[in-house]
Amino acid sequence: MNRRIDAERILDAFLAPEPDRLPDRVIDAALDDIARTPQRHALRVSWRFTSVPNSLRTAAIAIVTVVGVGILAFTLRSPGVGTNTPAPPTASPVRESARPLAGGLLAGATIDSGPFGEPFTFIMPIPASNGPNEGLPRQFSAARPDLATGLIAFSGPWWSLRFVDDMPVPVDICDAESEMLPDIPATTAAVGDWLEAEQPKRASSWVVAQPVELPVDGRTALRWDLVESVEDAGCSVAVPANASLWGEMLIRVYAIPTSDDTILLIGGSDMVNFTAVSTVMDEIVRSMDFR
Amino acid sequence: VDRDLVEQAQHGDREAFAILARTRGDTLFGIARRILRDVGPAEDAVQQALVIAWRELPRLRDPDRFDAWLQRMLVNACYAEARRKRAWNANVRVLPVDGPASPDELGWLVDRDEVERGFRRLPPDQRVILVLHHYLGLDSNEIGEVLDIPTGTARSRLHYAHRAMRALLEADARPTAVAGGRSS
Repeated sequence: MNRRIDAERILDAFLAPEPDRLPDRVIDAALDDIARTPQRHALRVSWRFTSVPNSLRTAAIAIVTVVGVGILAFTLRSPGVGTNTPAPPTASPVRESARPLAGGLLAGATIDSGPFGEPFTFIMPIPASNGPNEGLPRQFSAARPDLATGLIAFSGPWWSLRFVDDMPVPVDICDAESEMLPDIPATTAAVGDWLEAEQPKRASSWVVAQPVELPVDGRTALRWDLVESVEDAGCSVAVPANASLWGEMLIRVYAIPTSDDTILLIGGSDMVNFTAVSTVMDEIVRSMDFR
Repeated sequence: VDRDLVEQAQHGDREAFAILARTRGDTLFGIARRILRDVGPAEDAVQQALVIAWRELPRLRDPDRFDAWLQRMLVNACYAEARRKRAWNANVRVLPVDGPASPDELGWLVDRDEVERGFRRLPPDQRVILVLHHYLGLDSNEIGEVLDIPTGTARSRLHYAHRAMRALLEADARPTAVAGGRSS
């Protein structure tokens, strides 16, 4: 007899609801933690803007654009304006303000790294849509520039990206509690050594792909894809040490040389969304403009 | 009433959040225990999810979606817990038998250990989706809301998870059948 296993029926029984009792101590411990945990501020500007109907949002953008162009045109056509005054600082090269990217994303805001060791600007692709279930990665839900500590972090559901500069990193990139290096390895090659040093510890669960060169504003960055085995994943890339990537199995690391050391761009996502996220990361790096 | 509590908690009311946490703790624990197949990590995942939920709550846009959002926090915490403790290894302690396990309910495959073994061999994303569907009874649309993925993706993942589980069970069952003299 050749019976086909009814997996759905078996799973119905195997995972059946039954009384589950969470011990009070677990809730109490969580509430103790919460008593010491501040809430993040709501991104109210972003929320309000994205909750506006698309037509109104488009109109608002158009008005702002027209006004901005008008002011710029007025300024350029007024020969008296600005004469005999000191020249303003050289502006960053003009870049396209919007261009389509893979996955229906639109390139958008230019972001300034501010007090990073060697300041730069880059273009953050902003999703065209922010509604529910319209495809990932779509949410630009959390932009947390913490420039004082050399960190610019973005995240959405199942993905996150972060620039890090001038900060201690764990010797064991997977273990925030390991010994700390005083700074990110100073060269792109040293970053590669740092990543690959992890591989023997993780055996087959941690695969560092061959580095890929990427031109960035006249210099050469290196890029590695880190693949963690689903079956035996033990690494949550802990850079910075207090913000590990978690729940993400595919991680991409860029080492970008600066005048005196390197900065990292680290991003991760799940298997479904990694292709789109990694495309965005490439676009970000290519848009980097050091001043 | 829950919407009021969520909104109060969003504005920093810890008492309101405590009520929300206590009323949902058992369900969260049930989800985590089934995904992680171990009590300790499941408790840790729930605790972690609650703390993260508290921290991120002001960013929840629609208070009516609190439960799906909280379950997403929990799923993420389960991933983190599994990775941290290597709970996907085959060596973790096997849960005591729970739930209905009679031959009638499990069909002809009466060995619950085989199901347990097969389920543990599934990748975590497939376990998650199976738990959401078979334990919580969510359909593809609701799973999509919890995991924040399109409904079609949820449906596809569920299909592949069922197929993977069936393949694992059939692979386990095959030697027995051969030993029993099944002819090809």
